[in-house]
Formats: sequence, C-alpha cells, structure tokens
Amino acid sequence: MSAATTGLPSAHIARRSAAAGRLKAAAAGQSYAAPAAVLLVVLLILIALRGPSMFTERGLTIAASVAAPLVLATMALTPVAIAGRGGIDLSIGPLMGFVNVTIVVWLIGNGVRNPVPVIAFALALALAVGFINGVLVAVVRLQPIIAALGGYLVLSGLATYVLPSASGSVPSWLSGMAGKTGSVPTAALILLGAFIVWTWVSRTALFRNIRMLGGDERAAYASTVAIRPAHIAAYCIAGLFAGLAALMLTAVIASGNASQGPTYTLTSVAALALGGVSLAGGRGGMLGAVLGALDIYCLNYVLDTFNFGVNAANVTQMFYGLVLVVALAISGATRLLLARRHLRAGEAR
Amino acid sequence: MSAVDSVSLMRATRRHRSVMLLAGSFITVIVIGIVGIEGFASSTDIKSILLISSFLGIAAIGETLVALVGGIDVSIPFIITSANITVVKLLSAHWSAPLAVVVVILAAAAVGALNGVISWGLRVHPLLITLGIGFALLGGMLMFYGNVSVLAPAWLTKLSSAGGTTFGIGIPPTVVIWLVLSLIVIVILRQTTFGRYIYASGDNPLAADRMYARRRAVWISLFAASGVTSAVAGILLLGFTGGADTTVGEPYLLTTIAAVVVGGTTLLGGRGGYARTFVGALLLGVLSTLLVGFGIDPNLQETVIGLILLVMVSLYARESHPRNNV
Amino acid sequence: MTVSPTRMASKSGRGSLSGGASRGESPDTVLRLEGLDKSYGETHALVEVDLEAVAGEVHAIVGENGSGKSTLVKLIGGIIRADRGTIAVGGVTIDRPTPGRMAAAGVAVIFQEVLTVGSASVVENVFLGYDGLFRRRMRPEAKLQRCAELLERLSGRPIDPRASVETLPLSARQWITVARALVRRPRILLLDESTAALDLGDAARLLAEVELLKREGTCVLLVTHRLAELQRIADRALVLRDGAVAGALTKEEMVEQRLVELMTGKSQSSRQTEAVRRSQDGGTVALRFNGLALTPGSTPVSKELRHGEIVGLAGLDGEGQVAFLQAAGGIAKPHAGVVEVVESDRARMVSRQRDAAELGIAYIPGDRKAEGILPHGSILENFSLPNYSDATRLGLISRRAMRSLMARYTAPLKLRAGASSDEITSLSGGNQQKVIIARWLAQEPRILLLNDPTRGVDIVTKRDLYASLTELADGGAAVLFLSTEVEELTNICHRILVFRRQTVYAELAGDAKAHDVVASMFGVERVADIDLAVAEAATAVSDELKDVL
Repeated sequence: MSAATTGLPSAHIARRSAAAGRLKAAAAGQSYAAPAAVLLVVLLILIALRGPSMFTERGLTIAASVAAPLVLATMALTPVAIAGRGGIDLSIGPLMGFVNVTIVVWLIGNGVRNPVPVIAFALALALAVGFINGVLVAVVRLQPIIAALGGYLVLSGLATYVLPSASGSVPSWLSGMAGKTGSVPTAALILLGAFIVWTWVSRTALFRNIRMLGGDERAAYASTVAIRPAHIAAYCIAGLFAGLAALMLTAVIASGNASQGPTYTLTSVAALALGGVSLAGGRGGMLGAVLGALDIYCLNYVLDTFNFGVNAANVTQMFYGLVLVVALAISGATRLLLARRHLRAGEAR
Repeated sequence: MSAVDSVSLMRATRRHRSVMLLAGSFITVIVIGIVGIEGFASSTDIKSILLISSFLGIAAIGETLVALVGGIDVSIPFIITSANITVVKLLSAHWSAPLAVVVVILAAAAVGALNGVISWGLRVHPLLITLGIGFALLGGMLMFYGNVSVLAPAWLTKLSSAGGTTFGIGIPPTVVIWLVLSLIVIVILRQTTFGRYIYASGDNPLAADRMYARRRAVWISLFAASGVTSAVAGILLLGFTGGADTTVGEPYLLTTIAAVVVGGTTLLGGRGGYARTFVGALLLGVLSTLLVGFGIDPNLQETVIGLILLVMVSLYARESHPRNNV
Repeated sequence: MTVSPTRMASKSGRGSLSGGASRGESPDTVLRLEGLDKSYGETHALVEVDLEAVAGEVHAIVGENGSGKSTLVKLIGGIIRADRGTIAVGGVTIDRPTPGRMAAAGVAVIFQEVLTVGSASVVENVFLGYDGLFRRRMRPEAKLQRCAELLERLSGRPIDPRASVETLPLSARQWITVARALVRRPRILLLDESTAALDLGDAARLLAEVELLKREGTCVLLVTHRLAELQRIADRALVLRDGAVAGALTKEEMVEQRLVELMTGKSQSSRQTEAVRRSQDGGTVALRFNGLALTPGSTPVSKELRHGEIVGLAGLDGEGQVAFLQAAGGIAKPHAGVVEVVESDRARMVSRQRDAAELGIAYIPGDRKAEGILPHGSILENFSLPNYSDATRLGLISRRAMRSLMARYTAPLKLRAGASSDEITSLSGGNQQKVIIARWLAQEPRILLLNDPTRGVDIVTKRDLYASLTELADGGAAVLFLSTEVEELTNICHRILVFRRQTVYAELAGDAKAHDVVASMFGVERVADIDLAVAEAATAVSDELKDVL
C-alpha cells in the first residue's frame, strides 16, 4: 500500500488513462461485495442443477416479483447504514406494511384506483416517514437504532389498526407489477429502474456528502458539510425505496396485510450484512445490498427444491443464519488480515 | 459554603435528571391508572402486571448487560423460544426436571458466549452476529424437533401462573425469581470489581485496558449471561403459556431493548444499570395494562408505547453533536 | 491547466508588503474579533478577547496549555458560538457562525487534530465540504488533477489522489488537511499547531507555504508553541493567559523572555522550578531493555533503569520515546528485543500489560481524555478501578475503605475536589490528573512509567508531582519520566535519554542544560543550529517554489 506515497509523479497520475483509472477505482470500491457475488454464483449454479425451471420465462417472472420487495427493502437500508452512527433502520419492514394497508384501505377501498395517485401516495407517505426519522436522528439526535425501534412500534401498531386482518384487493395494474411487460418481468424492469436511479444518486454531490458524514461525522462537520440536511436526505432516500418496496409487496400479495411488512425487517438486515455493507458507516453501496438480497432469495429457492415439507421455513431460517454467520466471519477475518498487513507496511515505512 | 452546596446540588440534579424523569413517569402512569380505571390497584391486576413485567424484566437483564458495554443482543427472542421448546422436549423424553433445566441454561450460556467470541474476535457488529446465530439456532431447533405441540408440566405452570404462591405467600414464584435475579444483578454491577469493569469497558475502552479491566472476558461473559437470562425467561414462559410455543420469544426482540432504553441505559455503553431497566420493564407492564383498561384499540398499544419511548428518549438520551468533540 | 488558488491570488498582486508591522485600524483589516467571551459550565474559557488581523500578515496566537487558544480557534472556525462578542470578516459581522458560514466568508481552519475520513479517498478528503449539499462545484477530473498537483507541491512528493486515506501516514494526512484549506482560496487561514504532526523538513515546507500565502495577501493566523517558528515567521503575536489577552506584541517585541513573561504572568527567573533532584546512590538494576528495536530498521536500544533513579525521556513528537515507554509497560509490542524486570534472583520478561502489573510496573497515561479517565465515572470510581482488590470483602467492594485509600494517596498531591461521588469531569484538568496519578501510586509500584503527566497542569500541581516522584525514587522506586517540557526533565531527572529516529540518539546527565537537550532532539550540536537547520530547509523550499513561479 505504500505505493500511495511512493508511486508515480502526480502529473503522471493525473494524466493516467482516465477510463482505466475510473474502472480500477470502481472495482476497488466494490470489492466489499465480492463474497456476496461469489455466493450468488454458487447459488445460481445450484439452482441450475436442482430447479432449472427458474430460468424459464415464467420462473423468472415469479422470481423477480418475489425477490423485488426484499431487494428494494435492502436497498432502502443502505443509505442509512452508509450515513453512519450505527444506522440500521429496523422500521423499514413495518413501514412497508403501513404503506401496503393504507393503499389498500384508504385509497383503493375508497375507489381511488388510478395508478398516479396510488403510486404518488405510496412514495410520498414513505418519504414523509423517512423525513421524520431523519429529523429524529439528525436534529433531535436520537441514536439511530432507538429511533428505528420507536418507528417500528409506532408503524406496526398503526398498520394493524388500519387493517387488523388481511383483506382487500388491488387493481389489475398493481397486481400486474408482478407480471410481465412484453416478455420481460415487470419487477425486473422496476428493479433495473431502481438500480439506475441509485447509480445516479450515488454519483451526486449529495451522496458523497452522506458517505463522508458516515465515514467521520466530526471531520465532515468541521469541513462545512451540512451534516443535518445530509443525514435527513439519507433517510428520505431510504423512504422512497421503502415506498417502492411496499408497492411491489402489494403487487405480490395482491391485498392488504399488516403482518407481511415486518417480516422483511430481519431478513433485509441479514441481506445487508451478507452484502458486506458495514454498520460502521461510510462504506459499502447499493451493489452489495442488491447482491445480498438476491443471495437470500436464491438461498430460499435452492432450499425449496429439497422438499423439507412442513420444515421448509425452519430449514430456510437456519440456513439464513448459518450463511450470515459464515459470511460475517469471512469478511471479518479478511478485514483483520488486511489491517494487520497495513500495520506492517506502516512499520516498514 | 452554601454556594458550593447549591452548585453540587445542581450538578446532582442534572446527573439524575433521567432517574427523576423515569420515576416521575412511572408514578404518573400509576396515578392515571388508579384514578382512571376502577380496580386498577386490585391484587389480581397488580399480580398480572408484575407477572408480565417479570418475563420482560428477566429477558431484559441480558440486554442491559450487553448495552452497558456498548453491545446489543438480538438473539434473545430466538434463545427464549429455543429454551422454551427444548425443555419440553427433554422432559417428554423423560429427563429429570432439574437436569433438563440445567442443561438448557448451560447450552444457552454457550450460545451466548459464542455470540460474544465471534463479535469480539472478528470485530463484527454484535447486532449482525447475534441475528445470524439466532436464526441458525432457532431454525435448526425447529427443524430438528419437528412437531412441538407438547404441554408444560404442572410444576412449571405453578411457577408462572398469576394465581401461584411462593411458600404460601400469594405472589407468583416467577415474580420472586425476578426480584432475586434483579437483586443479584444490581449487587454485581454496583458492588463487585467485575461490575465496575463492565462500566469502565463501556465508558472508555482504552482507559479500561490501562486499568486491566479484562475487556474481552467481560464482553464474552456478558453475552453468555444474556443467553442464560433469555433461557430462564423462556423456561418460565413455558409455564405461563401452558405449552411449547414456537413464537413465544418474538415480542421480546423489541420490548427488551425498549425496557433498557426507557429505563435510561444508553446503548452506547458506560451509563445506566439494571435498577433502571427494572423500572422500565415495570413501566411497560403497567402501561400495557393501562391501555387495555382505557379501552384503547389493542392494535394501537404498540403505537402508543413507541411514541412514549421516542418522547422519553428525546428527553434524556440524545447523542452529543460533533461540535462538542472537535 | 488549472491554476492553483495561491497562484491566482499572487497575480492580483494584493499588497505584498501591506501587512507587516502595521498596527491599529487599517483598511486591510480582514478579521476583527470584539469582546469574545465563552464559558463552559463554571470554567471561563475566554474572557473578552479582541483581535484584529490584516491582509498579508502572519498573526500568531500564543499561550500556555489551557490559556484559551483552542477555544478561540473553535470560535473562529464556527464550531462553537461565543456567549458574547462578535466576529467580523472583511467588515461584515458573521451572524450565528457555523463552519459553513465562516468558510463562506473566506475563513479556512486547519485544526490541531488531523481530521480526515479514513474510509474515503485522498481527493474526497481534500475536497471534503467543497461541494454544496446537492451541487458539485468542480468536475471530478479537475478535482483529481488539482488534488495531485497541490499535494505534490505542498509535501514535495506525489500522493495518489485515489488512495484510501486510512493507508497513509500521519504526515500525509496532515498535508491533506492543509490542501483542504487551500483549495478554498481563503482570505483568512488559521493553522492550529499544524507543524506538530510534521517532521522538521515538512514543517519548514509548511512555513514556506505560509510565507508565500502572506506575500499573496492572505491573512494567516498561526497558533504555535514552537518559539523559533514564531519568531521567524510571525509579524505580530497575541498572547493569551487564562482566557484573556495578556498582550499584543510586534515582531521586534517578540523575544523569548517577553513572550514567556506574558504567557505565564511571571518574570522568567521566578518561573524556574527549583531543582528537587537529589544525588542518586547507585541502586540495583530494576528494568533492563535488551536489544529493543522499536520499528524494523531502527537501531536497537539496550539500557538499564536502576532503583532510586529518575530517567527522563525526551524527543520531538513521534521519535520513538512513547513507543519505548509503552514497551516498558507491556502496552505496545516492540518490533524486536525484550524488556525485563530484574528481581533479586532472576529476570522476568514484560510482554503483556498484565505481566507488567504483576511485576510492579505502573503506567501513568498522558492523554487524560483518551486513556486516563472514565468520563462518566465518579472521582472515587476513577481512583478505584485497578485498586479494588485492596478494599473488597467477600467479593463485595467497600466504598468506605476505598474512600480512605483514596484520601491516603491524594493527600500528598493536594487534591482539590468536592464529594468523591461527584463526576470526575467536574474537576479541573490538573486535579483530574492528580486523581489518575494517585490511582497508580496506590498500586505501590516499584517501577513507575509516566507519559507526559504534566501536560495542561498548573505549576503548583507540577511541583507537588515532582516532590512525590522524588520521594518515590528515594524510597527505591525506578521512574521513567517522559515529558514534552525539557525544563522539567533537567530539573528532576538523573539521566535523560533523547530519542531521534526511533532510537536513543543521546544520553545526557541530569544536570545537562535544557538547550543541550533540545539541540540533541533536533540532532544538532548547539541550539542555535536549530534555527539554522529550519531556515536552510525553508530556503531550499522557497527557492524550489520560486522556480515553479
């Protein structure tokens, strides 16, 4: 690593082929997600061997639709985790549930079935909740995990209050989001759209500010980064993705169900950890979150191919846990080894 | 001299503001209950409040301990459920009761210690590692056991029912167990070197190291202790619900953290204590009874508790702004 | 292609000589502080401070530890707000200052602590806070180029702008903070002890840069405790004492004696602490360092420490003296070699901190906040933690026994404190330090290691501490005393080890003159050569810069 100081003269560095440099930097920036990517490849091979029906048009449509809420929920966790202070937004799941039941009961139940108001309402509601969360963390300065805990209780209570038991129906355009557009799964298009939006967001000045804030809040503050607005913005971005996740959830279950949302809380946290996004802040990105969520989905799919019968859910849960522990152990050990090597390099200097 | 006294009084008031707030809200809730709900102070109500708070209070011992060193344990609900069903399974396999209980508690201690060892050794956030271990543990247990619809033995039901008596006195044994455990934990935290090492580890890790506070041993043993108290709660809950229940632990994921936080122990380490969580657990118990008593939609109870939590924490557990640390 | 900020400014040719010794009201006044007042609880940190600084001057702010310098820096940086008083930049009063508002007004501050985001790249750190919340102010390619150029010019070596900052040494990170300030083209640049993390050559480069900025019309505020640095570069100096302005000096008045008088409020001769060192009657060996190499490639050290002896450790920041002390305490592992405690019949190796404790070694930390106090603990708790075994019955702590133990060990140090249940943070820094020292003396150590224990401690406390140390040594204890104040080493030590380049560069007798110690810290024969060395390095850098121009 001493190349950083003893390498090429600066003029050369600056002139170095910009494209190659950017590619290398991008690759280095994404290396945290490597274990998740490897695991995904392994799982896809297993799926190809055991349940190749996933790779049919119908199989892919179902897979994309079912995976979409989890992928989007994990994406929603990412900006908050990157913004630091141990930010882990456990309230994402109940928020999805709350948006789901309010769409079904308040809008569709009252005859508002047009896509524009429904989608706008879902996103606006989730954004508003994200904003409040952000204010609690950035301005009131609650510890993020406590704000999330409070939000969890408030939202899951409200959701069951609005719709105590699963019921209702959704318009065909909404359930169609779990279907196909032409021969392409709609959910895949939505995920692609979300990923493109994120890629754009991650290149903005705002996102850089959020990342720096997460890396070292004091340095960011002393260097004039507007830490409060930046932190609130991270929560707002999270809210928007959660709103999208809620829409996809509604499309998949085609009804209102307050108890569905909260199940995404722990699974999405597991997916985030699997994707290598650090709770220490300032590191990681959406790619890891998406890969982690896909890992969880594919793991589920692979296990389903082994007829565990009534035990299927338990086996799945156990494997979530084992894979998570192993992944954390591997990434933890790698980090320690790298740190030790840095230390030695530092001594040599 | 009086000036000095008033200064130190002011300082003491500031330091104990959270204690006063906690005590104040506890008294307020009770007064509201007595004034607003007929029969609130009746012995059956009090017993059921104490009983509900006991399970939460015992499960929250571990959460308090790990919070004091800046950790968090989300494997508590999974260990509660695992202990709950394992005891039944062992008993129905004709193990003797004491042996079954001891084995389950030791196994839970081992699982907790594993949480501690991995999170310490690999510097992984304990939230993630306890989540993974929790998933793996409970999933594995349920897969292994298959059908778990087994009834609790009578001696366990007696321990945990609201009508139970302890040595002829009309207090459920579970409540007595909670009181005894609380006393032990409070004494350990305040009056033993180990307890002071816990606070030092959470307050300033580097200074604690300089004073030989054995931080690794403290960290691992607290996670092990958290496993033990979760298992105790799980076993006692078996008597309360009357049979093995694969979802019995679920409510304790959030409520244990809520009891710790409402009590005023920070999750950042070094400040707080179990006496506070004790009151926090009681407060949550009283509150849920109160909300039922006032006829508030049971679905909104969670919401109200969430709001109260946010307000109380906003009043006394805010993080400091970076301007104070530059 | 891109012209660096300082170049741009120089072309505008803002009066290169307009600053200098000009005093009082001046049309070039860019910074005016009026009646700045700040209290923290009961501590009055800053008392009615006025300051006026003009474009094109280097205005120094000096004072002892705890004189209010860092509070003033934070106020000017907008980190904290004054209770009373105003800050005006370029004639405009800044309303409710924040770091952002101060930066927008043209103030850039380089804080003493090297503040970087370790997980981010060099270029991101240099341009930290440069963009708006949403809007980017420069293209990424332009940033990369500017960053690479600026860092190479400043540090004299290429630093990859894409490298991760956590892989870089401290000096490189310090240059990043300097570059971060300069990319904003500030009208007012405040450097708070910025040469502390740099070695002599780098420090000279930085001072040359300051000269250049001054010539281009920047108003440079310089907080420093290196007097040579001050005299060479500053045009005026503001001296703070106990939070208030003790005096303002012009360049001609900036002689050491005058500065010290203003800083301490005493004439220099009376400030000298009387030598309390007593003759040392050759005790037996207590601690032996055998071929101790602090880093790979550094010359191994083999030394002995005897009972009854106080040995001083001196050196510029980061020259190995701290690593040496911590190796003795089993806290930091040396690269090679061993530390042994010599007992009557055998020698036992110190490899872990716990071994050290069992062998009767106590390490008294210097950085109170980082490794000394438990900030939320009481005074008693802070004294007691390592000493509970002396006051435990049936496994339970007796607070009464602890209190009497604390009274016994704090009395000789003359601790001034309220109730022992008060929080440690209610005490002044000096009294906190007394609690920490008493904590370790209560272990009855046979070998005492002190890491700059008198930093930020008043003179009376220091004398009490010297007396305690001398008494301990007379009682047969062996003492290793690391200090950044050379005078206190020459006052009480029997021998002084001077560190340079991670090894013992010189061993001096205790009665050596302070300036001889300083000279060996810099690796020169006489103290007068230090300025020469700095000046030579600086001239070389200036010439190099002129070539670039």
